[in-house]
Amino acid sequence: MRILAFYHIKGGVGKTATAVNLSYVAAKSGAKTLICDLDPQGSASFYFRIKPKFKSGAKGLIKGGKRIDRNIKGTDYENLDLLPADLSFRNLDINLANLKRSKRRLNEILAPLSNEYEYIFLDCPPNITIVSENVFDAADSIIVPVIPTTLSQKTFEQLYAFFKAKKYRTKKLSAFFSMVETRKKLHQETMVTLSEKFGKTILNSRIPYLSQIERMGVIRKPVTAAFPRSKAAQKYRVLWKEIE
Amino acid sequence: MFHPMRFELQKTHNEQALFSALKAHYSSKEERKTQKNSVLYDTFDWRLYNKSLSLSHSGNVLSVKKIIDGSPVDSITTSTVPKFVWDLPDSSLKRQLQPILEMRALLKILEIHICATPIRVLNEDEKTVALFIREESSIVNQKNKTVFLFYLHLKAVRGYEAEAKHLVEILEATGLALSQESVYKKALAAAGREAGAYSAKLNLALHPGMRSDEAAKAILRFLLNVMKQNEDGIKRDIDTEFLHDFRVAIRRTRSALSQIKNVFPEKITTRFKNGFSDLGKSTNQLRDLDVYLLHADEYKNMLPIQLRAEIDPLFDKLEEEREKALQNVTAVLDSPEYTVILRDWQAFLNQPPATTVTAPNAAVPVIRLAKKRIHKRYGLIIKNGSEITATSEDRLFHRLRIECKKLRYLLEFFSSLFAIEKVNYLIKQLKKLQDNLGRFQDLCVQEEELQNFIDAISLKNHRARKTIAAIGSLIGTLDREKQTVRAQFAEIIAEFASDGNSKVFQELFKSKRNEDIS
Repeated sequence: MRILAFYHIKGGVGKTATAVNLSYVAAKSGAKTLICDLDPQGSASFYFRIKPKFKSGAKGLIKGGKRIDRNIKGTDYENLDLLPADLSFRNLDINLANLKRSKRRLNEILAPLSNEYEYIFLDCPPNITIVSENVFDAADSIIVPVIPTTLSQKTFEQLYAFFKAKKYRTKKLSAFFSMVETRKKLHQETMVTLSEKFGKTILNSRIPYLSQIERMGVIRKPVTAAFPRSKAAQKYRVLWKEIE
Repeated sequence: MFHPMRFELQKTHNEQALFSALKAHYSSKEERKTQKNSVLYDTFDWRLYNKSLSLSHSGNVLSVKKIIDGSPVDSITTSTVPKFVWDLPDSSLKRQLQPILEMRALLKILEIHICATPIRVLNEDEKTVALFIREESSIVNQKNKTVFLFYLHLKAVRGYEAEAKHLVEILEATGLALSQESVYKKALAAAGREAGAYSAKLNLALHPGMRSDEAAKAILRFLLNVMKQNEDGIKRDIDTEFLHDFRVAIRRTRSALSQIKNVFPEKITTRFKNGFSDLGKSTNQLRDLDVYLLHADEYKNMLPIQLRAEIDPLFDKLEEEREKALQNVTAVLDSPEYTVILRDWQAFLNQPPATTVTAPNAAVPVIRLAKKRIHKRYGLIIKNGSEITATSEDRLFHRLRIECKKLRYLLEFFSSLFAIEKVNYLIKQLKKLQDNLGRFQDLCVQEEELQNFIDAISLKNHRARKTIAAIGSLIGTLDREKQTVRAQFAEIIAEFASDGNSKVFQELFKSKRNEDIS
């Protein structure tokens, strides 16, 4: 079983869109996949038309076991299940802080699912809390979408430094350029700079800005499912090939 | 996790009513229908059916299921279905089927065409909360192509169990019921096939007071039918067991004519005893070659790897001889003599029951005749068996084996006249003795076959010499096993002749008034 986290401190970078679309591609290839919506905003759940309701709330999520089982929902797509978000997840870090081994709790919760799922995707909230540290610990790969602008560059450098400082394995980190507009000179320059600075940490695949991806919230289906022959879908499939 | 549920639909099913009932809480979306075919297989003698299993091939998947509820047992991916189990890809499915199918060919029983239409059930967010699949099945190649199976499957979506439960309630409220029937049985009925229709096992209901000639005719009619049912399979060379069952039916026919003495006019008995004897003999060569070739792989595997290829040319020659032997048998089956003898035999057996005494024992109540013959045969076996020791000649073992077979046939012919558990018990005891004698005979045959190999290999090179030596050592192994089997005989015959068995034999078959039966 492989755990892939989609994470960035900043919001609006394409975390959820990427997690949702790649989870579909993974499931379509035959691998049983679970996508966990850890963001109290419930965007991933929204894209799959699943109500953001987790019975027993944040406390239940932390307890794990049967409470996880009871909340898993089948998406409309074969091999793909979703663990919905809940508004109570805004208190996840408070609930975790009181536990022993508070940073390893997520790993323990997810371990029993390895019998059932080949991939677990984590759609993470855009912040840096104990929840994030749990994610850094539990995930085998941490995928970071980066919009190639100056501020975005700074934030990524901060994240990388944080990783090194906390002694997490920087090898787990993989960044890719998201919402890229190649006409913009700033985007071009930023991509060159970051690629030079971070080498293999930056993936080759890029996801351009495409209105089709933005409209996912309207059609409420992964773009890779609704428009499999579109440019967006092709780009996501290429990205998945690089990550899988 | 939900197991998909199946609701049976009638042709008159009002789908509109169902969807109106759903509309209050859900919407629905019908998707493109898919079609697929599924082919059902079994052997001529229904071996899988007799084990309550079904074997079907659909798309690229070959699956074994339980007949009773269609639940899956095992499956493999394969694009074609081989004729014989040994040609299946290595798998747990192959290992499970090998002892059941053995050397019998898989025949296509029927082909089902399934038309499936998925219907998504959606909640207010237009999320699919359950899936209906409307499935219509018909038999392929049937003239009127009627749908024999019309189901609505309900597949729940994980996490939406409450919705699934609610849907079941709605379905049941519109009058639909969960179906528990076996798809297998319905399919066979629709295709006009009767499962288990062929069996070489005698299954007759005789009455104790029946005239012996009528009882004999009932037995012989059954056996004639077995012969006829196997003719086509022999000519089309489907598998080796058609000929085997044909020959066993002939053997039993001759045994019945010999052992159920003096129930028919002598001319009839003589004509047909001889006729079937000749018929049986004309198939000997083909059967011997079939057995020889069935042993081929066994013999090859017993030799060291580097020598296995040495005996390939021998098997090629055997295959050639077999082809010729098959042509001969086919010619016999197509001959006017064969047609005449079977026609005349059928005509004789179909004659209305005689009212006069056409032969000395013809009108004797069959129960008396059966008891006398069985009791006498049992006595002979005990006597001859007691005279055989571990060092007796081979031919004495063979003679006893044939006598046991005669007793076995008698018990099988007349089993319906006696208490079933007691007869089955005796047959079981007899079988232990027959197994020992049968094993002995198999070893003798194998020794002979291997000796034939040695005689056929020309001493042309070093490898040939090595092969002969290897086969020689195999013969040695077989010989040692023969000694073991001989040694076991004493204990087995003692057990058969035990007081316990004797008591049951006497109880069932001893009777006082036998002088009038010839």
